[in-house]
Amino acid sequence: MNRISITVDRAIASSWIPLLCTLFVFLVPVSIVIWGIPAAGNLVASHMPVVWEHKLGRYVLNVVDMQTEPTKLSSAKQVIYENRIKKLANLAGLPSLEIYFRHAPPNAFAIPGNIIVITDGLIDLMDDAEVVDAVIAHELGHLQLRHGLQRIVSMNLFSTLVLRMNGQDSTAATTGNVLASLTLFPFFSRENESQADSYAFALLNKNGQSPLLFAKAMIKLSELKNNNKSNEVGYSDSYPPTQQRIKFAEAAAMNIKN
Amino acid sequence: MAKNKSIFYSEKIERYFLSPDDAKVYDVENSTNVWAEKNSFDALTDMQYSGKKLTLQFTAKTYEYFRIWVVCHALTLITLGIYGPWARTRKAEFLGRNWLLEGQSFQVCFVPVALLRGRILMLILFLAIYITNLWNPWLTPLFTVAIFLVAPWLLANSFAFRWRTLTYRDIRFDSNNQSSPLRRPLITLGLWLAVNQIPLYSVTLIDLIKYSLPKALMWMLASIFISVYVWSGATSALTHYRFSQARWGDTSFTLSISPQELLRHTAKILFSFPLIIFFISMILIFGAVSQIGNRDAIAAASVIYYLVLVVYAATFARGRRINFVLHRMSVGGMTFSSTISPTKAGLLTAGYALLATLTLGLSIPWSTVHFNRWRSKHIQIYLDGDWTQFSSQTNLQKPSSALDELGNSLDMEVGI
Repeated sequence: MNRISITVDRAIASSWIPLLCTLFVFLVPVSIVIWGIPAAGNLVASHMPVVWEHKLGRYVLNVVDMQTEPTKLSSAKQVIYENRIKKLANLAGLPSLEIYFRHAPPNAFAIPGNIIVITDGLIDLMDDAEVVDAVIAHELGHLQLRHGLQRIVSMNLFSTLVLRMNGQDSTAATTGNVLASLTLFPFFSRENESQADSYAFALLNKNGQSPLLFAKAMIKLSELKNNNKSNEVGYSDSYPPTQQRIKFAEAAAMNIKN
Repeated sequence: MAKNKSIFYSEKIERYFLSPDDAKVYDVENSTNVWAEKNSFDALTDMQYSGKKLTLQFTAKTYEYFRIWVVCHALTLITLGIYGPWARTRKAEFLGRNWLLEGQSFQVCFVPVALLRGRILMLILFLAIYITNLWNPWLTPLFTVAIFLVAPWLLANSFAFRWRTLTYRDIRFDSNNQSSPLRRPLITLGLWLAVNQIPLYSVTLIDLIKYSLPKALMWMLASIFISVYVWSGATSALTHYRFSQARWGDTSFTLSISPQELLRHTAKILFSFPLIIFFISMILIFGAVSQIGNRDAIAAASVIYYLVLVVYAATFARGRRINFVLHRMSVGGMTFSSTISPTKAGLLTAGYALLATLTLGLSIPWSTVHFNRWRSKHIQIYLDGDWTQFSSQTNLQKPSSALDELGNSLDMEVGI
């Protein structure tokens, strides 16, 4: 250890090593954030045992249960939707998909461990089983690409990195995390959403349906949120602009026709 | 002229934030040291300083510290954190030897292997909690209670470890590691945190929001009040313990206040009318921005909200508590006074945090040196008698505990 200590002393006294370290300390974390964290997220997500992912999914589902009520859909309607969703899931190569219906405002989400939660609000709003299929195809995209797990891994890696970068200065580290959660994570989230959209277009096509169904779903959701006026995206938006998503769906439909 | 004006406004703001009782310290005239009293915060109204005023300096240069910091930092990144304890030791030694009291420096002596052991221990503990939480959320509260049952012992050892790393004039600092004074406040905090972690707790809150918003608001306000009170109780006890149990060689530190008095002082700051108005106005501003609906505006407001409410307010409160303690502490014939402005400390810390984030941490060496230099100019030490009154006859215990990391995670700092 003494020899290491002497070497570090020399490095500190050297005229160029601190300069090199400054570049390293600046460039390495930037590279890690841009390339390393998404790659590590992918790697960990693709190698995590399904049992663990399922455990995580159960935990998230418990939280969802706390915030929602049991579904008020009739059993017959549930069976119809379950069959449609299972058909799509088989096409997507996710035969072990678990489907849960909950009574809550319009929403559908994919949870690690091949779980999809769909709300009564969404089914009422879409008012068309085929449009619901389009939303489910998007959620299956998140599951197939393991976005949920990637996000958890990336966020944890990022927090650790920020803590390291700031020399365990808790105030600076927390400020860094707050800023990142408001700008960087939404950037990754927008990317994930676009990937899931593209996946949904391909899956709908495979199921003999048009990507225009996804555009219809987007229009209905944007009418609800009244946010279809802007085609611009802010740094902290978690979703790409709705108009852009609709255009991509229309473009995908055109490509399939041609 | 402009500088004088800014000092004038800064003092006016300080006076506004201090309660009438605290503000009295400005008007006291029967003092032996007028300069210290006129500028000090949370001082005793009848404080009498006698003896020689000692020179306290922080002499580090930013570029010197930057070289050490950046090389250590790069090594820590390359070794995936394994070099961290050695990096920390090197930085602490540098900062310690640049604190000069009467021209003599402080020596800091960490045992990096012990720090590494502590970090591994903490990592295992955090992983265990994380996995347990995923496995079964009902086990998390039990884990919290278990941790807080042993926390008094862990923290007492951590304090002792930290004090023992510090030496001045060849006399080492030390601390009694009796955990009994910490038991009640820490176990109370642990129980309260555990209650908040019970899954049923969130369900009840969500149900209340659904069925009765006023009741939900009452519930939330009560929760905030209890959280602040219990947290303040624990941190007051820790601050009190940190100084009242310490000794320099054979000379014990003396604190003329009880933990309860310290808690009352903290509560007075946190629940003072101007601070509550300040909090409410920040919440209203944030609410108004949220109504605009622009997510970027909300994000910017969130950062400002965090910096002002969390960073600034916490530093302000902590600064006042440290001032309060310093004015009531003595070590043999040595007494202390502080002119550290809590407002300026809060603004500086919030500024440092923002700068560190924007420069990816590269500004930290500058802010560390700047803050220490600023503190050195605002702490006054008086010595009644001479240095021969301090000695060390007892056998020095080696700093051997590996539990320092828990102290870090609770944001405590032992040193000058």
